[in-house]
Amino acid sequence: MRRVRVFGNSHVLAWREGWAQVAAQWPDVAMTFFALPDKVHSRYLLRGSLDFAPRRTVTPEERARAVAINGCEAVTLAGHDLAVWVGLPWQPEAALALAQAGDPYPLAGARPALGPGFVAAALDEAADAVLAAWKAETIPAGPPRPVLFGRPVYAATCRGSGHALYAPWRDTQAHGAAAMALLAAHRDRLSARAAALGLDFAVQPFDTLDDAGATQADWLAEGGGMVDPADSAARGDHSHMNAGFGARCIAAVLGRAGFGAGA
Amino acid sequence: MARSPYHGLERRAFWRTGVEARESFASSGLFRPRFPITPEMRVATAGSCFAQHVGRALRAAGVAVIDAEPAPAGVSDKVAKDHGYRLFSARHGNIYTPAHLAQLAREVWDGFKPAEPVWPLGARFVDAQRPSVEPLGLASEEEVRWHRARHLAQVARAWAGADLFVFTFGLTEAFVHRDSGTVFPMAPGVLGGEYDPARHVFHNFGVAETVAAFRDFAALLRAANPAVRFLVTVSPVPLAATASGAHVEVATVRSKAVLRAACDEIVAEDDGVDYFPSYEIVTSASARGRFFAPNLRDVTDEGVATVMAVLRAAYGLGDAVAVPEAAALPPAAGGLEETRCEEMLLARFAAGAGPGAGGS
Repeated sequence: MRRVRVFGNSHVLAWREGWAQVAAQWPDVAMTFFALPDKVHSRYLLRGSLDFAPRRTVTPEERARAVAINGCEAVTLAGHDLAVWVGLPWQPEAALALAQAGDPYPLAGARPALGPGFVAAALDEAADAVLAAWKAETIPAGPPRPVLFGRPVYAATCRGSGHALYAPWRDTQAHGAAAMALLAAHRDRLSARAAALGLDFAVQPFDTLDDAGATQADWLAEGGGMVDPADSAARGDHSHMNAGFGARCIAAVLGRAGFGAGA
Repeated sequence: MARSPYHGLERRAFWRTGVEARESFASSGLFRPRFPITPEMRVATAGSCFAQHVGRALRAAGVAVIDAEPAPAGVSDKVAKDHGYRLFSARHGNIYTPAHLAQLAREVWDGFKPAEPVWPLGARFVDAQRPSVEPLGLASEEEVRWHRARHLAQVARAWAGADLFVFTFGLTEAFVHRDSGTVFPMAPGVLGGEYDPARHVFHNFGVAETVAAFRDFAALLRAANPAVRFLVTVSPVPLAATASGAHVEVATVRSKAVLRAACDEIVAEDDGVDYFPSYEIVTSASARGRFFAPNLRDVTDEGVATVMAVLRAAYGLGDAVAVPEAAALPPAAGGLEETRCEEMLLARFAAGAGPGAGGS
């Protein structure tokens, strides 16, 4: 039996529910989950001992919350064949913001063309910010060294919100090719930068996206979306995805880790 | 006995009261504008490195400085400016000479086609008229031409929409295409292309040429934008290098003298043009050289702040801070305001290789 530890913030939920749907396809895999509210997750530390445990700033109430969710307040990656750290920031909005301003290639009569050198520099800058947010240099070598899995791209339903957070997706809806090209470029550059540090970075399969760089609305978790239809500017929840989405991500990660495509 | 013509003149007319005894540049009447600048005005900026400060100061004072080719939101100033964004009202990079300025206007409105529009940069290509905006180059000559066509449209939009055009004269030295007279912003070979004495020739513009070039530019801009007015300055930044054969210090004084004299002629005969004395403020004897960094070339933050305080005070923009005379100030705290000055690349040639016009 091969042991897989999935841990992270609230996005772990989709993975856990997804695993319930597809576990039978990997009968030799035992997958366990550990999830924290993002506010608490950001104050947990993956230590050199491979324990994912709270810092001193995590309050007793928050520790109790972790126990209530998971049955324990800390977990270890030691003894696992694979670990996946789910829900990490990767700034897809940085790529979409470039697509707001122009296209990564000349198009007759169209918007400004962003030079490849400029795009590369801007995406490198975004990658720097992501690596800093991950505190990449402190992630222990393992084994296993966790796969860093980016949070889901906002669902297409976000375009119905007037919240500023979603402006890049609203503004690029008519420029899908640019959005997709820049999003893929960002993913690839970030993966390469992470790989140079010995880190494996992955995100949702891009076929879960629509043609303008938002996660297809069908993948959104039940209860998500606008939340309050009376408030068009509300942030809502366009971020948390459903079990089917989790299952797709699991299949992608297990596949790239050499666990096979599932029975 | 007739009274002296100096009798009754203002205090600012006399060195003792106008310089020795003044409390601050900003309050000394150093500059009296011909026309107002108001927050409602739309301002376009262009010129040498120093002109970037002018645009930033005006923007900070609440003036609407045009940016016709904005960088995407969220991109840092460093990355943006490294690629020609957020420097001037369009992404044309530094324009050091009035001849280059006039040439760009002719390209925008008069059908001018520059010679050697595309320079190779290794296996890639750059726009020879603004090689700094894509320092790594583009994949093909066609792509460069596509970008330039779009850029020219944005230049037209920026300049035609301006109530005020601010230009800082930077240099008199340039490299020119021998057959066509096309002026290049940088010497061939510095940021692309290859210097070929059979095709490229050094030219050091004189006063008459400088005046004529600016007037040509002004005429073209006024044809598109009749109400526009101009504010001109001379960059106080010395040349980084000269190809004139003279010592760089001698060449600097020659260049600045030509530009200053040209500005005087332009302003004297055109009510729609005003001159702002940034050159005089930074190089003033009363500054005792302290507005220059230890390399005696870069203008310090304090020098830039002083210039901009005078500008704001003169136009009543923002809360003008009285900047005391240099002697009363503590030593400069280092930290030069960052400008994008691609001609600093010429420092690579300091060991003696390659052609390169220096500038400010």
